[in-house]
Amino acid sequence: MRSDDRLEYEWLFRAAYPRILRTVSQIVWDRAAAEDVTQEAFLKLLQHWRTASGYEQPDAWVRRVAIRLAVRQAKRELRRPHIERQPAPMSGSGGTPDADLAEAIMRLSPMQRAAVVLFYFDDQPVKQIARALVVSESTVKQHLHRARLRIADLLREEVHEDVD
Amino acid sequence: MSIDERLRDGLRLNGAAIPDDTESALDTIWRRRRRRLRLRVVAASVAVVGAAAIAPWAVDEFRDQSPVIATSSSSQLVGTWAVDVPAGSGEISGRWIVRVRPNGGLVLDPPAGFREQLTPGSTLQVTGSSLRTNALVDYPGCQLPGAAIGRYSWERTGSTVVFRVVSDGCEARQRLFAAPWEAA
Repeated sequence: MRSDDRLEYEWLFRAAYPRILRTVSQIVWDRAAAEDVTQEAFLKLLQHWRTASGYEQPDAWVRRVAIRLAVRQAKRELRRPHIERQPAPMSGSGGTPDADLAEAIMRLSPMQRAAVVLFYFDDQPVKQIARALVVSESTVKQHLHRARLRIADLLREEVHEDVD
Repeated sequence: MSIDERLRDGLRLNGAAIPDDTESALDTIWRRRRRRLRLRVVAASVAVVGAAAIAPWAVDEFRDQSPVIATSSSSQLVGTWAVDVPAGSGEISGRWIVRVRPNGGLVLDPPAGFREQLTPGSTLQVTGSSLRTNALVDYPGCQLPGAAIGRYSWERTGSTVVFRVVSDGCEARQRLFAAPWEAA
């Protein structure tokens, strides 16, 4: 890799990694797994750098890859015997500010988790969430609808009208 | 509180509490890449009779792994700046103190009325009269494709820097860069 390519890659990494890590973390909620998944997405970007660096938004490309890997990781985690699942703490020394919410989200299916995190944390419209998760827009709406009901039930919160 | 408010607020708070060590992660990326390249070289050596045929390629690949010292052409922007975002921009309005580090790191000190949580990790990169930045990437609406990274042109006259937006889907960042930056 040429040194100017490397500088370009490193700049993009520094600009995009922290936010993507925070998104992935809220889907897998395991610190080591979240770091591994996010780094794997950036390794894929590095492998495809010649092509990807020419994209208008290579950060959007790596974000989509990271989200898909996060969903796959969450599915894999669900298949493991419960006794083996011991996620490493996610937050720093201050703890998780809304631990009840984090726990409720972890009770959702991986696709519901991803839809909720992308919609409420990343402010992504349904259309883009559908693209990231490779499903239809109506499927995303269905995931969001069910997830809201489940979380509201778990947290005893009010549910008003549905998401658009 | 509605479930939507709880989700928005809670995810934002939880997200801001997640620590990241970007530099250490970047080191890990290069380490993992070197390891994969080594494995590829080993596989190629086994598969191809005559390791001499692949040696020059392997040497080139590994030579590329020497650390590159990051250079920044942002020296004219390095320092501390006061940015007065005019009233009418919601919580963005008010005086911001922006510190630009020699490595391109950005530290944003928002006005008192700003309620969003700013997470560290902002950076900018200057190439000639162009600039890219992820400042305010955690602000609502600024994570979308086309909004995570903003592109501007810039010009410094004396102690003032003026920016012009080239492309940026993040409205909050646009407001911050629409106001002139005065050396503080």
